[in-house]
Amino acid sequence: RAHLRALGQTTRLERSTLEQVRAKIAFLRAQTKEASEAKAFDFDKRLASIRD
Amino acid sequence: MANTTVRGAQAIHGQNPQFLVETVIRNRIYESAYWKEHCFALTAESLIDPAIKLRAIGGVYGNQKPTEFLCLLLKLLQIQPEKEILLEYLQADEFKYLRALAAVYIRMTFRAVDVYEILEPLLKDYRKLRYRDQSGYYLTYMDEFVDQLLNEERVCDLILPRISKRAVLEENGELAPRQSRLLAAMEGKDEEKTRG
Amino acid sequence: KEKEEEVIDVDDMDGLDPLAEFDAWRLRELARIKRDKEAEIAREEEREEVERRRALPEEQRM
Repeated sequence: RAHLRALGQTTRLERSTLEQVRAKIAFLRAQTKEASEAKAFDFDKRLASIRD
Repeated sequence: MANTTVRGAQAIHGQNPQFLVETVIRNRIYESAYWKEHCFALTAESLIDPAIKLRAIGGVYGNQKPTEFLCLLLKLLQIQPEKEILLEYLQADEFKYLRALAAVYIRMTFRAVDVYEILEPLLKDYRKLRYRDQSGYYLTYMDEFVDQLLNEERVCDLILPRISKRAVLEENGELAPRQSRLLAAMEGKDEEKTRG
Repeated sequence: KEKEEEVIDVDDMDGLDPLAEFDAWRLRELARIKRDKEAEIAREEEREEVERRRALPEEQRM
């Protein structure tokens, strides 16, 4: 711990903000977007088809 | 230090949140290579990367080795992200293992009413999940896993904190009866039949 | 150092057979609804039983 302090670092963890988390997820999401949309559409369509 | 709970953390169910994972398993996690190499200094943001790379849920396997899933869960208990952050994890539905991780954390730390209100909608998520235990891998589903979280005392080799039964909360007027989308769809069908 | 070489023989890929996956969910959901309904009926019966016993005169209650 002492050597970290000497390097000017702290052992205290930074807390991520909600904004950081949102941005991160949005970024990761963009990479897999199409697949998810197809799936959500599918579910609603199936539920609707139960009525037929 | 590496294994201490974040400063300013709230006690959960009257104790240090990390104690929600029993001591033997907790120590196994602290000793594990995955914990030391991949969980050190993770934040609520950087934890997302390993969480979406998870390939299974589960507790311990083999010779009492903790799964990566369990390691990340302990990490969450340690850093105690805000409630809103957990909801973000949960809503990112592309990442089913991140969602499963958030679901266990929510079950372990949120108020009973919130647990039901937040987790029950996931009972319609029928995606596959790998579950790893002593005997190997087997297949389960998000809805089945969430149902276990809501109804069983032990999941992933964790003793879940007690929560009030749904029926009790309903009687106290704290919770509305559960609406199943399937039931609603089927009732809609019946109505159409009687009309036609 | 021992490198863990693991074989995962369980496939968790979704959407391979969407209809079957949905149908399997439907059966699981129905089983849950049935289970919860039965639990509710059991609670109801228990409550009625308690009330019935309470209504009995003291000497018959044993």
